[in-house]
Amino acid sequence: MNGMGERLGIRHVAWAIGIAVFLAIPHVVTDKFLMHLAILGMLYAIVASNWDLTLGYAGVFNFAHLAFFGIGAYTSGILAVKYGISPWLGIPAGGVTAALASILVSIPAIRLRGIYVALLTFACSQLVLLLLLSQPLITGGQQGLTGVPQLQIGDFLFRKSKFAHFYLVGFLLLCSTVFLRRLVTSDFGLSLIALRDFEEYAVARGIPLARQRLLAFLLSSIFPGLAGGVYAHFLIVASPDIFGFSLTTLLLSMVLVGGVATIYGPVLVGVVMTFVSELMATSAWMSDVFGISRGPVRFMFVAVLIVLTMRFFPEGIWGLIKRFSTRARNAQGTATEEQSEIT
Amino acid sequence: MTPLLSVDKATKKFGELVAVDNVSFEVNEGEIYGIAGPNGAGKTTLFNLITGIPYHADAGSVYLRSEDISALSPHEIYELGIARTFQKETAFDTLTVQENVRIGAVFGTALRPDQYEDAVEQALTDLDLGADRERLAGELSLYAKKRLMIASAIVSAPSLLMLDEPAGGLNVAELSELEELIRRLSRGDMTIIIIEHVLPLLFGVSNRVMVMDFGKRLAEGSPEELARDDVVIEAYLGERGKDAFHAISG
Amino acid sequence: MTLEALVAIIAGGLVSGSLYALMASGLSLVWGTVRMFNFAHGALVMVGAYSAWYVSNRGGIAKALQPIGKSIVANGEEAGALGGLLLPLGEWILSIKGGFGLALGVPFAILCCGLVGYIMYVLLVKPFVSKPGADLVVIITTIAGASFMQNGVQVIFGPRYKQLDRILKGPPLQILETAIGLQEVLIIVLTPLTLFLLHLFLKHSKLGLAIRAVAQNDDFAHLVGINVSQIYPLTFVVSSILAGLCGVMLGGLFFILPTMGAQELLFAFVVVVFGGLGSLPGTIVGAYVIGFIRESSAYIIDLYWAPVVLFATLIIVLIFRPRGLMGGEDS
Repeated sequence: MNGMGERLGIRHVAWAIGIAVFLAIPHVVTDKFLMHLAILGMLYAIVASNWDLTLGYAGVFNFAHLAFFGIGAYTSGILAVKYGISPWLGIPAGGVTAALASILVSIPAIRLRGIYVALLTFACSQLVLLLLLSQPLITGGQQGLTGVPQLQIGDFLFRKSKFAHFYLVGFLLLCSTVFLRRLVTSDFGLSLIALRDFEEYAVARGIPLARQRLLAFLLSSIFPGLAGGVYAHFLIVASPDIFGFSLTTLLLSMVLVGGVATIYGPVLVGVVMTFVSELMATSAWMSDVFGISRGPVRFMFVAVLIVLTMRFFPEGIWGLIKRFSTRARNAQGTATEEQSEIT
Repeated sequence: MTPLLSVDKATKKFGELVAVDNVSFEVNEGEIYGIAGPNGAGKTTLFNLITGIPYHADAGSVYLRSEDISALSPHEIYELGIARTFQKETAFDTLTVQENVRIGAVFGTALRPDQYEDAVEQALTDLDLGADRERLAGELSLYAKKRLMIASAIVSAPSLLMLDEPAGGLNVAELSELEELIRRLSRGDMTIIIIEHVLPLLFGVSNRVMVMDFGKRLAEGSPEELARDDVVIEAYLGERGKDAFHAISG
Repeated sequence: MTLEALVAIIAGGLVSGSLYALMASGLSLVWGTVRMFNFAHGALVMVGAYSAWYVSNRGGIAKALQPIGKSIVANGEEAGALGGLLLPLGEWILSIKGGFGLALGVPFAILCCGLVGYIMYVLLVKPFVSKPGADLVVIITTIAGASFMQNGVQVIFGPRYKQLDRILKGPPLQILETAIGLQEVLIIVLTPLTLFLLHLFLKHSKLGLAIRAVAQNDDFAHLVGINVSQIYPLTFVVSSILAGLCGVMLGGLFFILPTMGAQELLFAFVVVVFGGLGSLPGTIVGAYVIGFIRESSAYIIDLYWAPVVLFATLIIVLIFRPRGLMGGEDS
């Protein structure tokens, strides 16, 4: 019992420190570009960690998660640009459309297995892209939807402030992470893992496969939809690049390197990887040393990182941390047991 | 009295092969019903089509207390009170022992949330898994995994427990423990169907036994009746097996 | 519908069908044998097009060699005996500034794609083949591979469009007053030939028989002494060459871009789902059916909507036949 209390205490302290550091960051960091990356990183972290619910916990070969993000971005963007609707209504609307899209995707997806799920989700995400490109008058076509209004409350413009975007996105990430952690540690989370570990056994123990998988898609699409809305107003553009191979690979690397089925891993590595890849893309160092264009090189780096992760530490960074901490705890546990036996 | 489970002319084909061929039988409340037969006789296929995992019968019906369950999905069948185990030791490897059992308690049962923990504890104690509760199921030995599979089945207090070769791969001491366990579960109001190759166990615990071969029902009767039925024994065990069988059953 | 439109749809359907058939048969072959799905297959199409371009076009290796040729010629006249020997080489280099043509470009593309396919197998597939959950892992590693190749080609060649020479030059063929380009005609004729060669290879060569044996049953193939660990990479190489050929043909029709192949890969998905993964005849029939659906919907509805129609078809097929239209019911 004592151990439980201690662990809970440590966890609370860690959260408190984390939030304090977070609140302090915009007052300490003055570099605008670094702040920009931090915001972008947190938005990607939301998508990556939610993706982890289906890909990691549920073990569903889902490759449509960026589409939910894109749908959120385009929904809020189009509502604002074409209909003059406030972003504060548009962003929740993005969450709703993403959720609806997730239901549409999961209806065929829950009936399929393995590779067919991957094919279907890929096709669905490309279908969304093609639909967007086919309506250039509404969506801006290949060029993307430009002129998306920035966020503001009354006369207060978020862009003018050093911390407004940062706090807003940080709050969204916090909500999303708490939500996801509660989900995966609940009985619902157990049932997803059970279905992943042994589908036939899980349904033989009363778990309704279709309902749980549909819920997994639905519950993990809302925050990416909201994040997509914020993304469009933050960058004041919604671009079809969201659906491209490169961004998919980048986000995938966040989930994998962070550690599948951990939530915290993709959150952490989501932010870190954004910094790494964006700094690679912009640092003069890359072009000086290699004498080559920098943009594509970062995606090559990300690709190599993914393959190395899959090969040498498939449980990802958070998985490694967890393994070592349990090993340490176990070692401690046996040590005290032995001691008590001696005395 | 209506039987608890009745299977009526069930048939399942895989291409040309008729795995279960027009099989009918009934299981009464409170009884232990054994199913015997050589490998490939269709015993597990019969279990599969009763529980809907992973398929239903091509023809024929399955009734639970005269309710037709032939077309229900597996989780609905569990909800109605049929819990099965698998031939191969099966577990949710990345979950702990306790969580494995909890799955059986939470989904599709009549238990209230405040009863989950007690039910799980009881099942863990019944199957002697209390000491392993925090371990990952993937780390367990074969016998412990088999017990875990039974624990997660009985935690919901099903009206029908279906055991698919629970004794496979166990040593003598474990076998007698298992036999004791099956008797105990039966005394606690559970109806049990058991597929088993270990005949002393099967004939020892069962009230009635059905013998299958080539997907067909060959015979049914009490162990004593079947022991006298040389045709059955010969078909099932061959000439040499017959002598061995008589030696076992005395 | 006019007769001309009909001819145009048939010709277009045959061209698209041919390209899909080349691509999807490779995907299907690998799936049937290795039980893996190669998401980098589209990138191999792109590699095929670029490598053919590099050798055949004036902007490729020929251009890169020109300074060397010039310096040999410039210095050679003063350098005596050795220079005299090198001089013809220099002059030869200068004489090929128009590129080596497709006669060398296509074999080079085949070589390149075969090599890339082998390397891909070794790095992205082999380490995971026998592990649990390998199918998902290989999807992920091949996605990474595709991204690596796409971006790598962009680093080497830049993001600008390139164009491959057409294999046959000349005025288009007139069929019932509909003009059909010679390149298109060539694709329509050459693809069935290539697929027939593939058929002969699988049916009559020793290696082909081994591939089919492994596809039927790994364990049995082991028993009869087939070295499965050699058949897997071989299958990847064959499938990559098919993708490369598709790239060479595609490159003569459209512009070459680092991102080319991605769209085609998606159509190949539709084809394999339609035709049943792992079944070559099913895949080939599926490819032409999809080709015709695409062309006719492009003509009847709208060019933009053709892919939408196809993906919608795919999703509907998957809802009602979860293992593909011609795939088996259970496995």
